[in-house]
Amino acid sequence: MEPRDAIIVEAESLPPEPAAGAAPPARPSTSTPARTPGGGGVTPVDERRAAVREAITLPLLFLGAALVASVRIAEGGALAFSPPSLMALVLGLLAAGLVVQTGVVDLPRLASDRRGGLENANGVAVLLLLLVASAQVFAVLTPERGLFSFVVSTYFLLLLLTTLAARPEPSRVLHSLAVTLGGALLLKFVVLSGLAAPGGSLARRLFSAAVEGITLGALGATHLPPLAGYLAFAALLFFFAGLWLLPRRGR
Amino acid sequence: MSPRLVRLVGLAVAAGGGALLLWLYAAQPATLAEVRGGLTSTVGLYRIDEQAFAEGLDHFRADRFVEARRAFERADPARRDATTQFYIAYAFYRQGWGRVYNDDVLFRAALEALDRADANASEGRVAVDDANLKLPSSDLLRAEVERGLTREWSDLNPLRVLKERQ
Repeated sequence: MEPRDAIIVEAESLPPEPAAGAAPPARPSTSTPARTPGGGGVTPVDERRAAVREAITLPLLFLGAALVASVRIAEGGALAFSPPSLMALVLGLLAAGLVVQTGVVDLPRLASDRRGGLENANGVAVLLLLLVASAQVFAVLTPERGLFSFVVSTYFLLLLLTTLAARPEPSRVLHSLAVTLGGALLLKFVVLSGLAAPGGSLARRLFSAAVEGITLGALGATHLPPLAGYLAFAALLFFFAGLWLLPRRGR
Repeated sequence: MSPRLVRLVGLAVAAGGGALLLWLYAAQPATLAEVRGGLTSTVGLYRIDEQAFAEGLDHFRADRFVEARRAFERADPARRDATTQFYIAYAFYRQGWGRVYNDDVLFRAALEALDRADANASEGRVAVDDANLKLPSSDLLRAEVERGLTREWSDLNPLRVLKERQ
């Protein structure tokens, strides 16, 4: 077939132009599965699946992450629900920005003028909860006081800014976030909490005293109950499950 | 279930979850019982354990204040019932009251319980119909407790020993 014939065939398959004065055709509402693999239309099953993911699964995962990450447990077992600090909010905003910029979430598939009002409301709810969950995850993984609080916050900030500047592939962003946040989890709940744990061997106590001495007492390590670590781990799982299920660019 | 209904339900779930998070940040419940009690009282379903409350009242009237408070705490684990918190405050006051001096720690605990009582009362104050109490409202009890916590020259008045417990 000649190229000219191909253009004619393509033009014939386009919808007809509306007549002068006639109302424009209604814009199709696009939910997440805008395209199906075979090039066919959106089936009711696809539409329902997308609705469940956008409206139920993703909000519940991000809500779960935010809720679990906000729990603080004192030594006596008393609960506290800590809102994110200003620094954690900034980090959460940067992380949400990173997720959008690098295509971990394809923004038009969550909120755009091609979608209906209810669909956009669901998309905006997902984005808001992503922001809150990100902030809470950074808050729970940052040591609460001392030198490490400053060091870890600064590290998160620089890492997010450099990743934003580099704009890597979505899968690499997820990989990088998993390594960074997993490392922070180990640092706070295993290393620092272990250093501050009461009792233990003489060698461990001598090492903690030496580290405190080297940092002029600014280490600020706090012993945390084991449940706190498990909750932070669960928050990370919820968060990454949510990130993984977001409608990704090119997927 | 149609996609539209799924989306509506999801929106309600997201809004409810967001409201729950905000409530947790604001109310700061310290135990799971307080979380449960706070949530049930929000929808008007919170009930105290009447039997434990009656036990607490018996202990209170017999001047067994520690036992009374324990029973009241059992009756209202979420600390959401204004009347129970008022009696807890009264138990702290009566235990801390002394002819020569008052126990400031117990008086401060009484004020904290009164704060909880007033916060949970629909009119911002609690009034109980109990002939055994000389201070039947949270306003009267609060004034008495605050007077007890204030240092003033009248504290040195020897006639203070004649003062009666309320």
